[in-house]
Amino acid sequence: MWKKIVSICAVLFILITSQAHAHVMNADNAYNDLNYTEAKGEILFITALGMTNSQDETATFRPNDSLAMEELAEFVAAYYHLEGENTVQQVVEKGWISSLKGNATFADVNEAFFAGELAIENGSESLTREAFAMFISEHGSSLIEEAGFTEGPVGQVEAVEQKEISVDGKDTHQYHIQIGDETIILAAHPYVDAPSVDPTVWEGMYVTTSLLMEDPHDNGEEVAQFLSISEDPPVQEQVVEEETSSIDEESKKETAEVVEEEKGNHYANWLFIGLVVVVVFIVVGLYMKKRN
Amino acid sequence: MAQPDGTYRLSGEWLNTESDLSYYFRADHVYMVYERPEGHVILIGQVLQNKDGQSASLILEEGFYNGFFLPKELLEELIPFTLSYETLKNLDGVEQPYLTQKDGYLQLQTK
Repeated sequence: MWKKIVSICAVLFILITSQAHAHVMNADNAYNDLNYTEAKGEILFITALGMTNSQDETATFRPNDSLAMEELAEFVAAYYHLEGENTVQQVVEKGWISSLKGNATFADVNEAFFAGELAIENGSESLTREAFAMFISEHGSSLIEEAGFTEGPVGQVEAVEQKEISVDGKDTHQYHIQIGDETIILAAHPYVDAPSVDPTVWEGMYVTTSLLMEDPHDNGEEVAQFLSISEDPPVQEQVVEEETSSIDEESKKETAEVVEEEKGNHYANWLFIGLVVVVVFIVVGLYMKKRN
Repeated sequence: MAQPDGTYRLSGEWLNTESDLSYYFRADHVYMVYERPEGHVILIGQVLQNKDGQSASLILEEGFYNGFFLPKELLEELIPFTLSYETLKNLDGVEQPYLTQKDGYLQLQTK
């Protein structure tokens, strides 16, 4: 029995401290209950922003639950790194939210994170926790910089290279990801909205968002803490492709019209020549007849 | 093992019937346990694509023998299994395969 206890303790210890490989967190392993939500990427995004740091240890996000005012206060307190006792009460005292009672509305979220400056139509509606994540993702570009992130390169992953480095005397692997002409380093524990947690599999896929931040766990280098990766090209590129193809279609149409027009002119020329020939024959015929 | 939705998965349950070790697939890691009266071994790793991009292997990160760390050199030598993409491509609808860890199984996906 003692062997088991020692082993389990060792396992727990190593799970907390191991950095042998990057431990990528995605929707499968960051939370246990994201199977059926449409907001996986958004939930990982607010997690990367640090909003869920004070959540319980059950590794659940409860996406379909209503967002309570107290939970909104927890998100705010975690995002702004409030310290000391009763941080949720501090959020109320600072005037970021009006109270801790009841469920939150879109207006409450707007007030808490954007000083009420967003123009929203559904302010009085309450929202679920996944709707909160979607709202923050949609409007939260200002929060990215405020949280200390810089936006990194986006585009197709050209190559992924694994390098061995030493952090605090411990050997670890670091992934270098080439996106276009730029290379970013993957953090030891990044949040990634991707179909795979294995970075080498991302080759050929598309990075649509990358957020970088200096990390003491990576020798203080600026590393990618959040990535959004898709197997398909981003919609914008598809739109450009569609636009290009529609332009091609139009130019084809125009070319066809010009060809048709040219064809028409060609027939008119021949008709004109034919008429001239007929008129010449008639004139010559009349002249010959008169002469005879 | 083909699923009703046309995807393929390798279940830990099936693997355990074929092996002396017990494999526990989880979304974050794969845990392996080997227990004998004289010793208890726990190994922890991840299924990762190999450098050549042609296969994926279970790569061990940490290991314990009766609670004590196993040396890194030993873990590097131990590769519990390797799955060749060339073989996986023989399955219907699988063109560019890769594997992801899920709770209880390995999911075969294709780009």
